[in-house]
Amino acid sequence: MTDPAALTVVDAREAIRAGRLSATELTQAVLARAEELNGRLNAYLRIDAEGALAQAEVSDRARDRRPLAGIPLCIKDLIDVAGVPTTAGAAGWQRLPDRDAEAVRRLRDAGAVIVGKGHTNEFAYGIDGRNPHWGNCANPHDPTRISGGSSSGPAVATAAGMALAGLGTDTSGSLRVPASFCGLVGVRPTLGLVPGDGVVPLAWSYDTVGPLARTAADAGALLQVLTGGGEPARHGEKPVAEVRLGLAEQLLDATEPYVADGVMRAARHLERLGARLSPVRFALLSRARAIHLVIQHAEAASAHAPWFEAQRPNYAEPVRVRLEAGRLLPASAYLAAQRARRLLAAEVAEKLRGLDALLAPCTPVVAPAQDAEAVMIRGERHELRAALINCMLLPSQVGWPVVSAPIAEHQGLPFGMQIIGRRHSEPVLLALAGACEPDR
Amino acid sequence: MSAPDPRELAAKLVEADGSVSAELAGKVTAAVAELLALADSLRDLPLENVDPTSAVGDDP
Repeated sequence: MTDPAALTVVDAREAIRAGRLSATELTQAVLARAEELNGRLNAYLRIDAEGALAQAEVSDRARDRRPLAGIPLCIKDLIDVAGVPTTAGAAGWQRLPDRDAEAVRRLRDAGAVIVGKGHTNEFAYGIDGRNPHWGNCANPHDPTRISGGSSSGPAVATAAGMALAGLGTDTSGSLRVPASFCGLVGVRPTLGLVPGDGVVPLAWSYDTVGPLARTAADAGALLQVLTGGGEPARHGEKPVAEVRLGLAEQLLDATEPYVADGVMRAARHLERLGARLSPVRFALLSRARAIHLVIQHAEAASAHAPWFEAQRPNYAEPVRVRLEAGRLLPASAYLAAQRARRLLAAEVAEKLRGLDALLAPCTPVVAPAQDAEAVMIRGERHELRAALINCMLLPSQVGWPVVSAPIAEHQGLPFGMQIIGRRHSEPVLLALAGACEPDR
Repeated sequence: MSAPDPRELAAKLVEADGSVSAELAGKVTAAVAELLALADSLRDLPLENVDPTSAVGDDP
């Protein structure tokens, strides 16, 4: 029999409902993987084995048939789980919530089993899955490589069978980058679609909460629950054969050739399924970095203001420098960036008029080494953080949903493609991601 | 009175907070300078008539 920890959410749900698998057996299998692997991969900062088994036993006794009954999940330790400290991956800072974050409550109400709290960059203010306070999270495809972050823990736990799926956050790519490096589907939902209550904020203009999963169908199953069980699809389902796609040409040029080739192969595959493809270029694309960094620094400094003075000596230097700088930014700089953001968003809306989705690369390279400070892209050296968020910034400005779909491998390491759509078009984006999956 | 230069404010961190080393203050100063330069780089855009509080990303 297949190791239950290797099942998809959809297959595990079917097996449980058919009586071929119990929630307890599934949770035991996931915990066994975690026992075997977490010392090397550091996906979990805290595992609640006893609590997870108790939840699973209750599910079995009740013959639970809720949408996620008995499905073991990893929750990023930026998101509150009742009775468990939220550390945000920080040193000297934590809070003990007396109730679940709204997103966790919805998952739990759907029957999910919460296995533990997943690794994150310090206060989610990083993109690489490295953390000087809690140790680095390692890539399950090659532990000498970074996992990507900041939703590193739920990504690695999901990819390595230490959970069937995960819950993370995305401000500057924190779901999409680890999804790309770990070979997963990551969903950055429409801004505001999934409630952020009970989640430590980073930058309100960009913060989203979303799932990480092994397949598009699994991601869709979680998203359906996270949105409250309602229909998130204002644009509705649409057959791939009727979809009109744009291709973000400029971003292809900002990646290594093997990534650009992978995206082109995925785009041609969708074309063969009937989708129509046309190139799109954005005049204001080069402004996305300035807009994003100014807004994020200012908002992060404000989000940290309640505890900043007490926490000051505990921050790792890169995070502290960003927060100190954000505190010193004048309001005029922040407002200029917010205005420019609206011009960029208007251009994106205009250029995507008549299109259902935009295809773009996710990460410009496969996962770099754990000690990498820079990466080479087309012969030029780029600072690691700047390189990894580069393709993320355009969609982050607009507030529209993005699905990161695994599309190919290079030297045994996976990488993904972003599928960007209009507000509430997640079902269309997930259908496109599913169409790019190899037959399982 | 003109607004204080954030670059100068960063340098004054050394005096204001004993936990800030000169090296750290230098990094903060450089970060502030970069952010101000980034913000300045946006000012050639037609920003005057844009409402910075308007909804973002709504369908046209």
